[in-house]
Amino acid sequence: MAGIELGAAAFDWLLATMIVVLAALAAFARVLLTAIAGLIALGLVLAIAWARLGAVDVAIAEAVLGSGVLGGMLLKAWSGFAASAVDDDASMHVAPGALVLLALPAVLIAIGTVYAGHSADALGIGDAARAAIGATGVSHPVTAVLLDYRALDTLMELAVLLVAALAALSIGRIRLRARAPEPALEALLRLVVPLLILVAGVLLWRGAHAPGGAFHAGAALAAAAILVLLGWQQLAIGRALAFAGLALGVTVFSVLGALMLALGGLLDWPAEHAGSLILVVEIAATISIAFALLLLFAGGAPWPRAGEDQR
Amino acid sequence: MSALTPYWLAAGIVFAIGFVALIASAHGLRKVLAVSLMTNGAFIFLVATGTRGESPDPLTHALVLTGIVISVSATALALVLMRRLHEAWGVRTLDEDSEQ
Repeated sequence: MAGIELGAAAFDWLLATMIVVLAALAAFARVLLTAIAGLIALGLVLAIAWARLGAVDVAIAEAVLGSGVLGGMLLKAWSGFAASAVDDDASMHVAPGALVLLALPAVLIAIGTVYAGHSADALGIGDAARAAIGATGVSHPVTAVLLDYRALDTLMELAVLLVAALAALSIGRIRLRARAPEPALEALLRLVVPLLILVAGVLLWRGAHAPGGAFHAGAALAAAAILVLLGWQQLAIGRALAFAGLALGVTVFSVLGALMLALGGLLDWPAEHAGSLILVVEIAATISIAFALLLLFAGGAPWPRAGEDQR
Repeated sequence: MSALTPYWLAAGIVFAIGFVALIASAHGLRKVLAVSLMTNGAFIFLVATGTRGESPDPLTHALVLTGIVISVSATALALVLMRRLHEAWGVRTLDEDSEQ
């Protein structure tokens, strides 16, 4: 394992223990809010673990998406339940005896994971990926895998996000009453939101040569927009803008990929233009990801539906 | 006992905890948390797998990155669905014999 300094085994064991403890908290805490807080904290400890294992891209994504945006969504969902004066209902609906029966496959899974980890061969495409990276137009291996070697998978991923956002728009109902935030909150937002937008830009640009990329930037942009939504309780996005923003990423990606049919193959960027093409795709994807995550957080369409007046 | 043993153990145990919580919990939001735990367990396993060998394997990192985005989308949609269920019918658990 050259290149990753795993000498401090005690730190790894400490991280693993924290991960397990937080997971148990998230699963079995009596109070629902404690469980949600456990999951948010678990995301951040996992980010440290990813960085420790050399997966910096995953660490940034886990911190922004897995802990930040997801945590915001969970807290919003929780407050929706709590507002209707319903208690946490931490009850288990299986008998305690059955719980012991459930523990058996759980223990087997844990044992099987440790066994699988120790016995599998250390194959991997790391060397091959790095060898061919000259033709991809980017110099960071993970970005090369995401947007060149496996561009089709990333296109599908954007489509999944789009479908989820469209489903949320059609199912959800939201009611927003615009109000001014408290002065302290407003001062904080006016400082943090522009910084977040700047961070998003840096992450997007760095994606070509360092950990970063469209997903991290899109999530940071979404976080900035979510903060504005939380502060001012306003979402000034009309139907046209929302659909245009949502569709931009998948459209640009698939159109450019289809155009490559004339030059070689589907989604096969030619070596001399690959860098610029990937940048264009990433910019479009960032915008779409930001719109999708924002609308998923809002949980519905901010414009009045046909036949309903906006209360 | 390799240097990655703590992570193999964490992956398996977190996945198992999520599995038990998914089946045992009644409240919808807790089931969502449980599924999130199971996905995190799988991610720990994937990233640890990519760490063996000479240098980190970018394919496993890309897979986990994709997985994080997709799991956030699915969780968000599940939360929207639960909200609508709760608004329309007051349902917050999946018990057949709950009071609603």
